[in-house]
Amino acid sequence: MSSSTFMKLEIESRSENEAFARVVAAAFVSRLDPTLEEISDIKTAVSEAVTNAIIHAYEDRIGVIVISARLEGNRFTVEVADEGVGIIDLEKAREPLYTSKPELDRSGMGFTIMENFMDELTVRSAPGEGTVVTMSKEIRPKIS
Amino acid sequence: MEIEFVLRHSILVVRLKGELDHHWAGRMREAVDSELARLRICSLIFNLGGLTFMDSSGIGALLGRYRRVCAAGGRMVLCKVPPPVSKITEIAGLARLIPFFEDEAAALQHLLLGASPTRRS
Repeated sequence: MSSSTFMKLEIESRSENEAFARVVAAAFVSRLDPTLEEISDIKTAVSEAVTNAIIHAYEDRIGVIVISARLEGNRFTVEVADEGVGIIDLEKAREPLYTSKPELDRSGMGFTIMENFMDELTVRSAPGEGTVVTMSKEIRPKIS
Repeated sequence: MEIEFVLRHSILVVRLKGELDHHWAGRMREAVDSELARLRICSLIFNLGGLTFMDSSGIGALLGRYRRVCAAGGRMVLCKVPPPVSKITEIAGLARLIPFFEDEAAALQHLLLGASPTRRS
């Protein structure tokens, strides 16, 4: 059996697509037989990354968000990429409770949640070019 | 997502069902704020028992309601935090700010009589 597989999904940056994106990620990882908590962690992390792209990267316009995911052995890796405004100060953006949009009731917890719910988080961003968030998580094999 | 409002002794009980993400957070905020304004009351109980998903947008919306209610001189508590959303409420440290209760009865008792929270996480 091949131990590696991938998928790619392109969506418009509309808020109704947040649920769609996280459900697709959950369905994709389901073949590794994850626990309910692992599925919930992945759905939450993907939701955070896609929401950031919608609110911050594209702000008041509709752009394309590309979600690609890979399964290698027991590892699930997902990349959420946009071609939006980019993040000027990455360090600041990743600080817990920091938000550039407090008026919108944003908690500033997005990156903290992604870090806590996944094993690894990498953010690459260039102002004016876009942002790529890469996250991975090991799905622990079940004892059968 | 579904939102159900119940009025109990001048306290608005808000029962949330489904998934509270960015898409629904804005709708929830508008619905709750206009219901509080319509009833001219300022204290809230959020019953999260029916939630199957919540991300940081939901946390932001709850914190936003908490700030608004406090600024208006009211109080806000949460109850029935279900397993799918307990991890995110813990990481966000929500219980440090907003009291959590087992159910609506305990939450109501606290707001009416000042009883202490049955559970903190």
